[in-house]
Amino acid sequence: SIVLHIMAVSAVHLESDAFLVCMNHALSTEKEEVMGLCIGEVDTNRIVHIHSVIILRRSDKRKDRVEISPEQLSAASTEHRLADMTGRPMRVVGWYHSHPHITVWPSHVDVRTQAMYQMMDQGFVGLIFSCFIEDKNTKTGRVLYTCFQSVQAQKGSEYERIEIPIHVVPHEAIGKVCLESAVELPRILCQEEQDTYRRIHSLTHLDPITKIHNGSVFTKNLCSQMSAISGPLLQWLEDRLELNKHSIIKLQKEKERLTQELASL
Amino acid sequence: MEEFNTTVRISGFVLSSLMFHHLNSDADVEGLILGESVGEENCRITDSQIDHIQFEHTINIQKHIPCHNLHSFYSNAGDVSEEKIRQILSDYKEENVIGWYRQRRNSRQQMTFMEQVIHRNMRKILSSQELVFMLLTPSQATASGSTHRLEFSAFIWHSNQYINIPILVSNLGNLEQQDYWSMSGTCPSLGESQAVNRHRTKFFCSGDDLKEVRNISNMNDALLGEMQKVCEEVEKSERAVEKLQEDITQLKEAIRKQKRNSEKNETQKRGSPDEPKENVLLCSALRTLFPDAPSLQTQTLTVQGFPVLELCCNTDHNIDIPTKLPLILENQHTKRKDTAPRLRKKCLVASYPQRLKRKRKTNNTSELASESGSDTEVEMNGQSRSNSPIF
Repeated sequence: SIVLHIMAVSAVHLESDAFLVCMNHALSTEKEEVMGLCIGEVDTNRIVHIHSVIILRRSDKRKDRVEISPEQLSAASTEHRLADMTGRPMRVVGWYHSHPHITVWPSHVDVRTQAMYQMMDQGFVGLIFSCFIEDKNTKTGRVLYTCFQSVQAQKGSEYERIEIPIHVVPHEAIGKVCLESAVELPRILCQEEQDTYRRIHSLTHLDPITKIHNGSVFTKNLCSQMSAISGPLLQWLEDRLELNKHSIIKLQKEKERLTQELASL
Repeated sequence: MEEFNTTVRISGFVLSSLMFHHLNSDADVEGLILGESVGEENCRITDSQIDHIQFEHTINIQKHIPCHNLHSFYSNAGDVSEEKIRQILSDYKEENVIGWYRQRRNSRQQMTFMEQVIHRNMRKILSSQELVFMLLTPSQATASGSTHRLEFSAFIWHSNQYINIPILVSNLGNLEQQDYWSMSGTCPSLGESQAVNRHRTKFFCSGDDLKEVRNISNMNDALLGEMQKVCEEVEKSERAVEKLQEDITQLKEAIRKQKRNSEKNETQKRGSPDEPKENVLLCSALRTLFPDAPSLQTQTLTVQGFPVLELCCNTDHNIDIPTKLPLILENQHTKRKDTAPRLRKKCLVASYPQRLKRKRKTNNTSELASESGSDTEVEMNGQSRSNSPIF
């Protein structure tokens, strides 16, 4: 018998500024998988347009246990950040996570997780970013990204992944929502660290030496975050501002020139 | 003996930014890389007389400056202009240039000849000891377009060749995150020790909070606050750039429209000049010089390039030859006497319409006329025999 899969999604168009935020997030750590949600809309041609992403915290940090809780999903759906500059309503259209040092293809767990999301929304898509891969022979670094959904070959059988074409669409100026999501990362990391520290610190049986030690650990960890994340992110923002200032000067000159040309015609 | 050990480090944010630059362009992109180079010498003296010296060099890529166009700082021959580099750098210092980068789709992780030339010329101009060339090559990994790949590496000139060095993406994960102690692993006397309790206040604030924790938290909060401010400024600048680009597009469109309208008005004034006018002087001249060569009096050619004799101009243009074209008359009187033997150079391939023309010609009892494309009578000394004037 022939099984026909009616594709709920024909392709994914990921705007480049949303891609930038995903990539920043995926490259932030090689020690654990990171994850987030994709925000956008689906058009009448069944193309999923991803305009921005939301960075999420992982409560369960076990390897290959990347899952978004229903609470996180519902919280994201009501976030004010979903409102787009275009005025069109945006919604959660997919999820992404990273595979540091691991192949880009979704694991069995990933495929099952994706299938679960598809049950509530058949247009839901999954993105995976594979980073920190190096070819030792050619000394070449590698980054890969893929888009997939899950299908069941037959009722009751194992889920399999299907490939969904993905195109990164140019978006030269970075959107407001994307910028806000980008600077969420250091805040989330800091929050996680503070929560961990407070949990430990509230244990009553610890002696002063242990507490001082833990205070140092907190300091060290926060310094790592500032050094690896906040610092470079701030640097990038300042460079971007500088670049834009130069562009504005150039563009203003061009605009004046064209205005004069139009007036002379 | 020297061992050369260089690594290049880049933060994930700069790598993402580089990818962002290329994703917004259809073509190849390039730009300058700024950062710093830190060298460390580890000298180890071995048991033998030889000093074993190991150099460890770390090149930190801190930012990149994208070029708006290709060939911004070099010519087609690969000559690098220091002036143009300074222009691109604007406020940034030349000493901080540690290299340049190129991004090209679906190509190999190998320097092209042109890139090597540019790199060599850059090394001559810039003071940086080890200039880095960073090459990023994105490609599609699956036919469906579901998966995409980016490969990247750095090249430097060392020991008379270009060598490939790996780029490490610095991130939170490669900084050792320490673990908290959740149990007091020490003996209870520490908790009761007088010494410890005496010095305790130096570390703890009122209550149970540690001064260190409070200080670092405050600093971190301040840093995040600073980041938020810059983020807001960046957002404003992005919108400003977008608005200007929109304005420019609108202006260009308006100019195009204006030009089209003014062109339309002008052509309407001129009437309908589209029909080509006949060069009556040329027609008369040819008819006078070659009265028996209708092939020279037609303006129409077949697709193969042979003159259509049926469409000769037959109108008398009433040109007064002695007045308008006096040189022609001079030549008519100096027709060369033909004594040289003739060679007939037959056209090897005569097309069907040509063969048709020849058939028609044989029916015609007119004098032999030179038909271009068929027989061309050539003199022994190479000149074509005809009534063509000698200038």
